Amino acid sequence: MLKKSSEKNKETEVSSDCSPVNLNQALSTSLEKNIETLKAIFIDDDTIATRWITNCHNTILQYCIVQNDGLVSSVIINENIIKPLMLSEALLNKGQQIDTLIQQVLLVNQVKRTKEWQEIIEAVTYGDTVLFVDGEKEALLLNSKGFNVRGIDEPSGEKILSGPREGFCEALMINLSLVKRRLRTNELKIKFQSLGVRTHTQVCICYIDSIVNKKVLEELQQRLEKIEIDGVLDSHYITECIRDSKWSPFRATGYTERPDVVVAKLLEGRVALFVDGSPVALTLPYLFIENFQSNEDYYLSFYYTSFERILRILSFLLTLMIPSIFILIVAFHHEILPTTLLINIARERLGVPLPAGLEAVIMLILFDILKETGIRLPSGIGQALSIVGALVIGQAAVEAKLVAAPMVVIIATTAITGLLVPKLNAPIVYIRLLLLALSSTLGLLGFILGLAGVLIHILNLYSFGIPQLTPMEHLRYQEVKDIYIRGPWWKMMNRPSKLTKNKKRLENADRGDCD
Amino acid sequence: MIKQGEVVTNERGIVMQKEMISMRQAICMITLFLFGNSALMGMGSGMGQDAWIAIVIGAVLGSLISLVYARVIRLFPERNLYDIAQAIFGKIIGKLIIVLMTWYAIHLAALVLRNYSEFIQIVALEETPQLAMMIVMLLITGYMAFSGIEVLSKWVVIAIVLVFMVVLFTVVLSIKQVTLTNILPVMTHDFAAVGSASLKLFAFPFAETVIFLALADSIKKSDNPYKIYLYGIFIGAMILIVTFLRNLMILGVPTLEKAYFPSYTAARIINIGELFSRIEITIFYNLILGGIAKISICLFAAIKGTEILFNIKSNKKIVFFISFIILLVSRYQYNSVMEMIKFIDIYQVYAVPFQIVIPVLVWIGAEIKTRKKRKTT
Amino acid sequence: MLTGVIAIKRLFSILLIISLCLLLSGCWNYQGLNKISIVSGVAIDRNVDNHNYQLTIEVFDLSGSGKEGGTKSQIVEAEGATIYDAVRNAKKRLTKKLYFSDMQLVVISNQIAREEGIQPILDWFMRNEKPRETFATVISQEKTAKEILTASGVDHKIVAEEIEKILDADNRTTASTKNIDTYKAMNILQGKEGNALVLPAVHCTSNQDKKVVEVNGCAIFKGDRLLGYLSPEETRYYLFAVDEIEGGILTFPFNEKNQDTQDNLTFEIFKNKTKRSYSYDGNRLKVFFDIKTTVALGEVGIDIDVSKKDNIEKIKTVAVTVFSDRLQTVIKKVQTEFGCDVFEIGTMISKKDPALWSQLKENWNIYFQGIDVEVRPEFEIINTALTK
Repeated sequence: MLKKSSEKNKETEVSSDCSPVNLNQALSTSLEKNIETLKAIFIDDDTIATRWITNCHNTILQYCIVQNDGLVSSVIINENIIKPLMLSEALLNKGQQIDTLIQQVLLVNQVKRTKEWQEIIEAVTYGDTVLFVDGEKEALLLNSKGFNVRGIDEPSGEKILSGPREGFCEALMINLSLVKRRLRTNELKIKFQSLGVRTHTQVCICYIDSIVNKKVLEELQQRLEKIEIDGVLDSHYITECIRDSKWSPFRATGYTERPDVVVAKLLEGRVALFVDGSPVALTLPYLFIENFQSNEDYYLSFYYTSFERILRILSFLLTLMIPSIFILIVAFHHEILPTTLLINIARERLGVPLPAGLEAVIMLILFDILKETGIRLPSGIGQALSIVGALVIGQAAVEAKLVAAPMVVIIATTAITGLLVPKLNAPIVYIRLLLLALSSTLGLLGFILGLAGVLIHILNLYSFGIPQLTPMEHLRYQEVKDIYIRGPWWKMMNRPSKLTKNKKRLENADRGDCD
Repeated sequence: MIKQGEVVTNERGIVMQKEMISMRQAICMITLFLFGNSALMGMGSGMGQDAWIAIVIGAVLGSLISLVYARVIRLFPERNLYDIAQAIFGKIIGKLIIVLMTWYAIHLAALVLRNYSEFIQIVALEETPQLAMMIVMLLITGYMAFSGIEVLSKWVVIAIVLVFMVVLFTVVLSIKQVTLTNILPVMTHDFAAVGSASLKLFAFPFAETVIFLALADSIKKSDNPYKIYLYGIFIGAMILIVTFLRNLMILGVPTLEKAYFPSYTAARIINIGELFSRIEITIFYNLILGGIAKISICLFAAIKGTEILFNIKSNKKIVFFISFIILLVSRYQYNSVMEMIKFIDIYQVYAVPFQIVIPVLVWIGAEIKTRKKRKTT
Repeated sequence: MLTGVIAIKRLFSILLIISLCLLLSGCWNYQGLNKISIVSGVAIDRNVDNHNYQLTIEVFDLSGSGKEGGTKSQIVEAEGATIYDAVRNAKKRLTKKLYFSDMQLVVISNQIAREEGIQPILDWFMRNEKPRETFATVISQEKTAKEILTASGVDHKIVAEEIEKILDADNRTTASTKNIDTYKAMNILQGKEGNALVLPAVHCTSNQDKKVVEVNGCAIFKGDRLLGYLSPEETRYYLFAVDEIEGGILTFPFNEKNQDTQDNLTFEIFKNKTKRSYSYDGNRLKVFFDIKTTVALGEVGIDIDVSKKDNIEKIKTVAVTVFSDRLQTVIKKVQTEFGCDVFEIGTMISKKDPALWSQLKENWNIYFQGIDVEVRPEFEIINTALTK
């Protein structure tokens, strides 16, 4: 896989490793020489095709277009580039054609003049056509992109019951178009950058000028500039380079594949980061509560979604704590249970060979294996797998007295509650095991200390200078409305306070109606 | 430590100013600090049903001395005790004061730690060696101290909400078990006895708030230190009194006096409808939270002192080192629980220089110095 | 900190040390459920021959599958010089460790209670953190305490649990015995208010030719020595005096002539409030019990129309007389026969007037025998159930 390059490489030096051509040279006026240089640059790349054209009215004028087969749209090249070049009567003088070409001949919507070989390389590799004109020292870069992208459909990881179902695809401009259509304001700023020493991936920062926190923006710029990496294939590559708390398993930036989510976050003063080639957009800064929020919360009734949100927070806590609490009860503090329950559980555990802690760990790992297999499997085998899982682990293992029935119930509950908050599945796995280990050795003390330690860790999480747990520890009315419950829209007067100074969201809120 | 107004880039790569805590967070810290140890050890001190009067008097005395503490903070805003001592008394005596107060912080942390590990050993984990428990507790408090005072104060705010809920919960649930007349007769003990009990309570826990002077550089200039201390002591005393009364009314005087850990014993008895029985686990966890808070605060004060003393910046090594010292002191200071209980009698005398003498000296020095400054300006 | 490889090595070694500390030492307190034997009740006797304590411990028997008929119990016997000694000696014949946190009952033989006192026995149960302080202590009226635990219950197969449940519901249903948590009993024993301890008493009867246990009044103690018993009837009146009654029934004869032969009327008690007060005129102490009871007429064995107000008044008057008489008899019996303050009069005085109490408390027991108690009961009949 692509590795981060550890030396401070200038791009030209890298290129000079693989091609002996000096990219700093100027273009020559001779068409043949330019094409030779180009062919030398792209030696051994058989998809770069050249086409020589001569104007039919003035046969002295010669042109050559360079196209990247597969990335270009033949229609555009034929109709809009070759045809006008061949048939145009406007071109007269060799040596002064560029302006005429641009203004009167070429039927292309985006034209760029260049004298740099580096720009020519970047253009060709992305699907632009390069036009070399005999007698000119400049080349023209013409927009003729025509590659295929996946269609816009609902992202499978973020399904909702009702609401917009568009999701991002892998092309940067299409993704941006989805966002721009929803934010029809001139305050939406979009700035491009290029990352990745070999891949030159286009990265784009979006924000709403009047709302965004300028400090965060500056910080982001600084961090992006510091990135030195071989290639950027996906937004996650960038995340790990720019995030705070680098060693923490918790997220420090938000990921989403939905344009409505991105727009909602932009409206709260956040910054969005798009990466060409990835349908996942990053939003930052990221607050801890966003792990529990879903965009669907805002499309359904607020009573229902408040309940759902509390349920999500609860299930996060439960999935961390249930195995540990069970071990705690069964191995250390038997006095917590009422007598009847204690007797039932004791009876179940009577014939089981393994101590409870070990059993819990094995079952947890087994469940994670099952889950992982379920994700990666081709769909046909999924059925058989669920049967195997249910029968083998559930039924047969219990009857063979390899595991105790209460343990299966506990682990199943843990697994299900864990699936309710997918954004936190990374930390959950580790923290669960850690708490389990602590409570198996030190009982209740270990459990409480583990929880306290996790809380300290979460309090330590920062996202671009803003502590992640920001609104949650205050319990102020304005904040609670969007944290633990989802208050109705006519009550949401302010934006989250730490994200932006421009707090007032609605001018006339809290009148019970939404004008 | 970072000086006021200094802008640094910490290890997270964030540019930040010196960490400040808000007034609300400071009050919560004092409250949880007071709750920590005392709810565990109980405040009986032989007074039977009149101990709540002793608590009230102890709280009043504590408020008096806290006026001195607050005044010191007022005179030198946004600086901590160590800075102030050096500014007033010069290098040598200042350093001496720093050494003494740092030692006090370490010893206090060790005392609390030992209290807790004894409690856990008697009540829950009998066979686990106390050393293991202490190590794990020190790991967590070390992590907390290392994370900085802002994290500590936020943690305390969250913890105190949980503590309040549990206290409320147990008080409400104990209604069935409560014998209201347990509090009568009032004042069977004479004033001398109540007085000496109040002095004991003054030393432990109310005057231990002197530790907060070492953290005073995180309190904003605009906040009123008097309010912080008084509110903190008031709310802390309230919770302690409520806890004590609940224990008294459930247990009755003889059981209360005999129990080492009355809150725990009281919680075992609460039983409503078979569903809400066996809730002593919540008390357990309440007490541990209080303990973590108190040890973290003391650890913090000790680390600051060491930094200023040896002029080094805060990092993992210091935390580790100080924690280790606390561990040693904790392990070897008593041989048994009985000695631990006995020590409280000695403690009220031993703590006087730290709780009263040094702060008063600093206060007088501070007054003189500010007066001199005002004369010259 | 140091960078690179050294940092990783250091981190790794620290982690290793910590995890070794925690894991390899074997999780000291880890006690799987299959290693403990849950105790439900203990019966304590004194072995006459070697003067040891003889414990009969009833544990839950986990070997059944639980689906048929509920949990059974097993009996384990143990012997030792002290209670703790006996408990540990039980391990000599048990694979699992005895677990006392769910213990609900301690039965003490009347022989020990009479001759030695119960405080040394209860000390272990209160000091050890495992037993819950809310368990019940009863006195066995049979020859040994063991017979109580080895008899069977009618409902459950676990005798201790059954007795405890009966005791729990008693003052709401039958009011024939006293229900007291052991920690409160210890409070009384160690308190300075001159209170005398009252514990429930249990005996065996036969039910369908099987020996079953039944609560049977209460046992009166002086200090921690057993003095005697009150019958279930007498205990009911005692409960009125100490304001612990919450249910139960009262039966009266309606006519004078039925006095000794037949009870015709039955009151069902709903609520009761006993206000106690006293007056002291320098010499004599006079105590007043104001008893206000809300009842329903549950059973009328004579031919009388109870919807008429006059009849109700008549019934009330008769009830008041009979009740006062019977309560006075109980009080007198306690004063003369036992001579210890079971009515918590000492507590009342000590809380209301500590100065007076410090005067009287010296010879309180003797003083108590001469106190004049005036009983002022009042009944309020709220309904007569379904018929007139």
